[in-house]
Amino acid sequence: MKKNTKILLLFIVIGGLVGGSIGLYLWFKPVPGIESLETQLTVPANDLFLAYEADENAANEKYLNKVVEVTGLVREVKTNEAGFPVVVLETDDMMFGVICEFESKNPLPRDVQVGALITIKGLCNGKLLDVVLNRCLFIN
Amino acid sequence: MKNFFLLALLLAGSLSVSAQTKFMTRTGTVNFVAEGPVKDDVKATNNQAACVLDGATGEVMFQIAIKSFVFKKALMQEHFNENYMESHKFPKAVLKGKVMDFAKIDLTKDGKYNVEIAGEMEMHGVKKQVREKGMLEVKGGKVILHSDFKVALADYSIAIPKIVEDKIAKEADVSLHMELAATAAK
Repeated sequence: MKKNTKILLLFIVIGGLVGGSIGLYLWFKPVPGIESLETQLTVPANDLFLAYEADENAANEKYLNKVVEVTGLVREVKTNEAGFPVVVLETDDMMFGVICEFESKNPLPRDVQVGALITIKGLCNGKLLDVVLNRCLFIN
Repeated sequence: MKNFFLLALLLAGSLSVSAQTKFMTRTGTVNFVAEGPVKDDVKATNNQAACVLDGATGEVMFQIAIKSFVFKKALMQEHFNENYMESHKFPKAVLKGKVMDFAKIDLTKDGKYNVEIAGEMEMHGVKKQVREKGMLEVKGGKVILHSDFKVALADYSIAIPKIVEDKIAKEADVSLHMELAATAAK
């Protein structure tokens, strides 16, 4: 075999291995944790809710699939059926607010109590009855 | 003016009566599996489904944020949202319907009932009449709705590219579990 052919073959093999590994890495890559994602928008819970009440499409344009940091008073703390902590933040609406499902099943810090003012980082998934955030993290 | 007050009073009264009979959750669970012949963990969970049941009429509504589905693999979640469900355009799925033969169900005492829910489901911008079987359980003042059913992806114009055809089932197995608590909802 000519030297050139050998080098070419070697490149193809190495290229294949590198490409394949990158492919496999991408394929098996788990969903990244929220702490590794940069906050894109910061908004008070009530403003976020009002934006959705006023114009859902416009609010989706702005907030949907964005990493948001939401600040508000805790209205309700519970654990959902799947075992993840859930916090509902106050809004001017009597019934509905901003509902945040935490990414980890770990217990929430003690500061997270009804009436406390807290900031939560999470992904905005749009509005159902409440504005819905998931994969949330307690900031302070 | 007097009449107006009387009317307002009547309205408020009738509202509060029906208000007591709503059942609601915002943390319902929806799982789906769409595994094709080649197994590749095509499944996801959503713990943020909303559901409201009118205890007086049996009218029921489910709302699901598509982006709340969590997968294990990042790439799969991305494809699900961007290519298949186009969740940036259609962020939620909604089912509005009625629990059939609702009069037979006694919400005041514990019991289990096989039920059918008929109504309209809107997903991926497509509206379709559906009728699904499920179980309604009254337990300690709560209403638990559970249903396992199939969703044919083609029915909702969800196209699966040829290259992943054997990894994704043409019909997804969907499982709903809602624990509804009595509420004074609007």
